[in-house]
Amino acid sequence: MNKIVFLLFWLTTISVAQDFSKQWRYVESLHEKNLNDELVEIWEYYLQNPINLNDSNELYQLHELQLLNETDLKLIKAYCRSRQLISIYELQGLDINIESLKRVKDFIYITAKNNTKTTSKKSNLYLGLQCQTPQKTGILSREYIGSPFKTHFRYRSNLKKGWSLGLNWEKDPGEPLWYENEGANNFTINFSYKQKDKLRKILFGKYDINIGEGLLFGTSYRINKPYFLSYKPTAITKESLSSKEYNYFKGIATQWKIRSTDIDVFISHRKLNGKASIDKTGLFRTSKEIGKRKRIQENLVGIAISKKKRENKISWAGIVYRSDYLNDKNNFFQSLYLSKNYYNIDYSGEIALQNLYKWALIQKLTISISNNSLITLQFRSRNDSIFNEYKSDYSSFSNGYENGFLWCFQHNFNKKWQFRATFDHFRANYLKNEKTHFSYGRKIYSEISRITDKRKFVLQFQNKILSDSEELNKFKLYYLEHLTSNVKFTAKGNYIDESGQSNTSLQSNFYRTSNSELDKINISYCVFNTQSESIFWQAPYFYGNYNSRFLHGKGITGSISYQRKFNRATKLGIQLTQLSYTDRKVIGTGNEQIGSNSKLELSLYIKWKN
Amino acid sequence: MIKLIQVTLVLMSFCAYAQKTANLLKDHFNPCVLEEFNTTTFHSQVSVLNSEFGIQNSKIASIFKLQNRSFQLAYQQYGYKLFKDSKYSISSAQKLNSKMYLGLNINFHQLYISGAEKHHALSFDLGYSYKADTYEFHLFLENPLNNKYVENDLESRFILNSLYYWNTNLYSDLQFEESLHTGFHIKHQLTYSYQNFLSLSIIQAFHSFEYGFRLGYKKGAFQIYSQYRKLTWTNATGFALIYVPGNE
Repeated sequence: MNKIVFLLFWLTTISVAQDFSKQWRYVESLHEKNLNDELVEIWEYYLQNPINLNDSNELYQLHELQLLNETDLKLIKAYCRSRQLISIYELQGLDINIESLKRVKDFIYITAKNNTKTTSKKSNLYLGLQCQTPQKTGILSREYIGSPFKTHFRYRSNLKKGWSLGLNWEKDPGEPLWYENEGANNFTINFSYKQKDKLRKILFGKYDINIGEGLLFGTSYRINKPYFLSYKPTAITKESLSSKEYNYFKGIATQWKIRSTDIDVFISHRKLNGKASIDKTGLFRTSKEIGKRKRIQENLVGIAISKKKRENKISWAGIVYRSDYLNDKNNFFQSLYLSKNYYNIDYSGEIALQNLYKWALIQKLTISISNNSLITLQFRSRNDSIFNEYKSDYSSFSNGYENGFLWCFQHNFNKKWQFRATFDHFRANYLKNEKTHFSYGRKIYSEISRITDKRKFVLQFQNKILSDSEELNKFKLYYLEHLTSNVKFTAKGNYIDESGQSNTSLQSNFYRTSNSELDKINISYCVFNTQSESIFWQAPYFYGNYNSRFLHGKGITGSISYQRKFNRATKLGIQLTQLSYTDRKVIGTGNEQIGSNSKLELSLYIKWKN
Repeated sequence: MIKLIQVTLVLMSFCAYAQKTANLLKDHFNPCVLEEFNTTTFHSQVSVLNSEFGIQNSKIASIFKLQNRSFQLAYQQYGYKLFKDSKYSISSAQKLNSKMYLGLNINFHQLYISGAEKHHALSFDLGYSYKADTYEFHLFLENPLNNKYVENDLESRFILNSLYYWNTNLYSDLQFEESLHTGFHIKHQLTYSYQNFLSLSIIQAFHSFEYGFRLGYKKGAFQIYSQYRKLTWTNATGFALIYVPGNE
């Protein structure tokens, strides 16, 4: 019955402009802290370039959406590989929750094999504006040379014959749009060409590099979830239209496909922000900050050869890298990656070398037991001095802990109940003979969840022990209830205990959609009270605006947003966010200071697509 | 001791009356509960927190209907003869649809400290309720703008209550509370009622650890409650009297 309702719902809403609210609610219930606007950028990309379920190469891209769990992904992949689908509705026959299918339905499509999708011209435009009151000291004292507004412009269009164009221009509050003699602020232009010929892809502009498990290069977005860590990038190079000002490359990237072998060649030339070390803040508002902008030269040229057959993949990559901040010499990086599937066992591993004597490795084994249980074992190790600037962010691995062993377990008790647990042990090896602070540690993550069509309940517990440090215990409660067909309610509770000091917050959100689905109102309210640790807060999803923050101290924060679709092409949104502290007279210090204990932020956006 | 246990068991096997009046006995008043009152109701409560100094928390209130809408007028006082923190409130609720309600309290606070200047403040509280057949949610935003006499001296809390009715006689009320001043609290109240005239509630607070009992008895238009609570800093005994003239 549910599936019939779902089918009807699907048919009636298929023509309505896409909104990512339900996708966002799903990921925020699981991996709240790792969410940012890069994820929306990925969804936006796949909305315009949906995944063909009948193409085994594209099928792997499903996990990039971060909208399905391991078990669902496995089921869909196995089903799609075993037959030629004639409709995406066939997936309803699988043992997958309807809500999971709803989340991905806009990102998938079906065409017959060997038949390329008709390239229709699609474009979308986004304009965003953000400001706050009272203003920061840097604005009032004119230390910041730019306007107090944050502005964001993004345009993406599919041109003719496989070409597409992307533009992104963003500036933070206090920054100018244009730096005198130094060009535009955070401006990106991308051209890309994609076809099913031997020459598969050419990219010009900003792009990400993802090699193997990401030991050396893994700049694409990933949710650093503690369960079943795997980078599994679907493409060595991928164009990027996000506003990130670090962790990307700029130049030309190409890909050829010869039989089942992919050959990627890429060149990057850019200037990093910083002087002696890399500046990752992305904020250049004062003359001192601007002095750090684009000062470190970085050049890179590389080739990657990979061969893929069904679930198995082997790849090798060789990269020559040179940067002022590293050693100003040519460094030769190599990566060898292998993933192999044998019935219910998945293996993947990467070995990386820098100049043939510094090394890093990661090995992972995942075993599924029946359809209800998964177990993963992962071992990683590396030299402490190996290149570690653009790695993918593994839990507790890249953060100074070179050696680690992680195992995790997942069990579905039934269709509703699921249990997951991860045990991560890590140790630093940079000072083997000395007892240093935080030289080793352990993290435990566990989660029990109950998910039905009407409600969702997740209880998480984390325990972290570092040598010579206080033990940290975190509890997190997430509850979602569909109060009516168009009103949803969520409640989130955080409790962090650090050696008897409690840090807590309680938050509640309401999401209301009008019957016509043209209007949306979201309301959020949160009270927080912390002593030693910060609490993560996230307002309800508001397109294009990543409105979350870490809160420390005592106070109240709330937000209200209204979004309206004027027609199939145009959508407008407005959001107000208020933050008030009760334990201080001013917020922040230095140029960042606000001369009041509360601030109000206004965000506006307009989105258009054809 | 055995007799005490026997008496307790007998009391637990008794039953109670309409559960809605139990909402009046909480340490916060969510105005949405007013929607449940169709007749005029008077209630008063007193809780003795420290008999040596005479510290009490007392409340007197009246619920009435005016132009088809329920209102409550209430006066609450905390303290003793040298320190009195008083609150005058007017409350009302609005039905949004068959399951949802929205409510508002407007409060006038008055602080008296012997030998010092009197302080006054205004504040408001918001309530929201959702009621299904077997469960309910209540949200309560107490003093969301953190209004004050001088500095952070009026309570500001966010409270989420989730009620689940195990059967017609037994229900659980799980309360999550985040206070700007005292942090996070979680509390559970299990209430058993028997034949609409007797009820027993067991109250447990997990953080910080507290517990208590409440016994209620209904006779005609009157309901009488007696309560004992072991708080972290004191033992509190309390009494409440509810009078519903139409229920005779």
